[in-house]
Amino acid sequence: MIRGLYSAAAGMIANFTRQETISNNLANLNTTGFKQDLIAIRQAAEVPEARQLSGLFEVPYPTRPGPTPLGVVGTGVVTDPVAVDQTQGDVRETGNELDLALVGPGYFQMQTPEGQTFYTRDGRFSRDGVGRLVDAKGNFLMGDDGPIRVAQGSVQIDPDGTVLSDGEEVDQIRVMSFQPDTPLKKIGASGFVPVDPSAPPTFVDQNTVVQQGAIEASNVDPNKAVVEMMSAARSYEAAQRMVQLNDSVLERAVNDLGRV
Amino acid sequence: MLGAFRGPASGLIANQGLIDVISNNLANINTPGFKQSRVSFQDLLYERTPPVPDFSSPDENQLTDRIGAGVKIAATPRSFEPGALIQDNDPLHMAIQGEGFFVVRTADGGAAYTRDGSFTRDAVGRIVTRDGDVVLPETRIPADARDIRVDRNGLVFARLGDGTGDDVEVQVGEVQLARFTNPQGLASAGGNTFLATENSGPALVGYPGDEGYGTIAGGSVEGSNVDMAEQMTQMIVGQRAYAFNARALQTIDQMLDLANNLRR
Repeated sequence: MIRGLYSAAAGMIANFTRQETISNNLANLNTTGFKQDLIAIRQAAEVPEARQLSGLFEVPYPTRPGPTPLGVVGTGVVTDPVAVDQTQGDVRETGNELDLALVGPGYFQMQTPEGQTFYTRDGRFSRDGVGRLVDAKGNFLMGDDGPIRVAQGSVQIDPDGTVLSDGEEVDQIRVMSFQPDTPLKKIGASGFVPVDPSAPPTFVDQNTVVQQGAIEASNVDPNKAVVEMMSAARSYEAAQRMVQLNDSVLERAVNDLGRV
Repeated sequence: MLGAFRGPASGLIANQGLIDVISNNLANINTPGFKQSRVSFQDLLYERTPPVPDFSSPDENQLTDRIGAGVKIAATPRSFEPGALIQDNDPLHMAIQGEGFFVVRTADGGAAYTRDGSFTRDAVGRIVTRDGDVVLPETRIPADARDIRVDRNGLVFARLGDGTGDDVEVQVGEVQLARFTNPQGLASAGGNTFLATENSGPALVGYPGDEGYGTIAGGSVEGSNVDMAEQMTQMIVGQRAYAFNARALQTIDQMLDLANNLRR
């Protein structure tokens, strides 16, 4: 009985986590290069259930001592680790020469001013005071020769990432990709780092095209998100009803059972 | 638990900011030399939430429920796309065709930069902006100057004398242009002017028509570069995103209400 109360509560907690994930996706409906989070909920561990009172009132099971086993019972629901949906977002033309969209599975390699590396698909760059290509936070876009620097003149970027300034080749953007199924985690500001910082070797991706004058929009589908949200809210409500039901059954057990 | 409100609330705030920026762009649709801003959003930090204990999971560290904290406006960079040229035949009005900014001296003596070339003369003949900031290099146009015109290299010519016939056209002044490595790093100072910052890099001053600098079109001003259609589209996008976030906020509120009423 008490176990049912906890199972129902687990249903509430899991659906609330689901709701938080969906609302974060919806908040990032217009965030360039955003990849939505997917959260799965699944059945929690099953535990063996046995006839609790067997030792007192019944003849014990002939071959085994202890309570009579009845089978298994679930203990509610848990959320699985959040996965990132890496599907391509819509590519939107902006016409700005330093807006870059990646078409394909790669990432821009970025470096913070402190020297830390991360990866992003948010390709809205501008130039800093000395002409390096930077994102909105001042992190550097990396090329084969370190931060890409175009001090003067117009910038042309070829589909393979070659940066040309006034027709002269300056550098090549490092478009990196990870081995399939490498888990990535988000660090905010559309940045990703591999979950395991040491392991996965990254390599320059040949299948990804850099498109100049465009950005990759968020891959959140608001229709799906709203339906998911309704589903989460209703599942939460159902679990809440189960908590209340368990509560009222317990109430009867406490108050009415002993009454003659 | 109450942190769940942060995600959608940040979405409301950020999209409100988007609407604010669009409103400002639309308000300046007729401001000469105005450059529209756009909004770039960024997702906020991700934090691990305490997962529901699952005793079947072999490794507790595998549970990495990282829930994002929402969204924020990272920057509102300006677009320095040229605006349309509006001819008004005012001799001291100038429009820059190409890159560069007019250099002006503000009231506090510092240099500011503008694309708004709707200049006039002040009492002593200096070329000034409509706010009275002096256009550099400082020139004095004699009071009797007639037929003032500005050529494509920013040189100001006029005829002097009493108009008796044989006055020749002489140069009475000039304007210079400043360029920046990163114009988007300029700080807006109001009155259509910008200030140099560390982000923009120092001003590179040169003459109109030089390599890399624009030329001057006299008798015209540069119109605002606000694109009405784009702004209206963005406004709808912002409004809808706002509504989605409001709905998420409402849903979370209803869920917490259910939790609050667990015990009747």
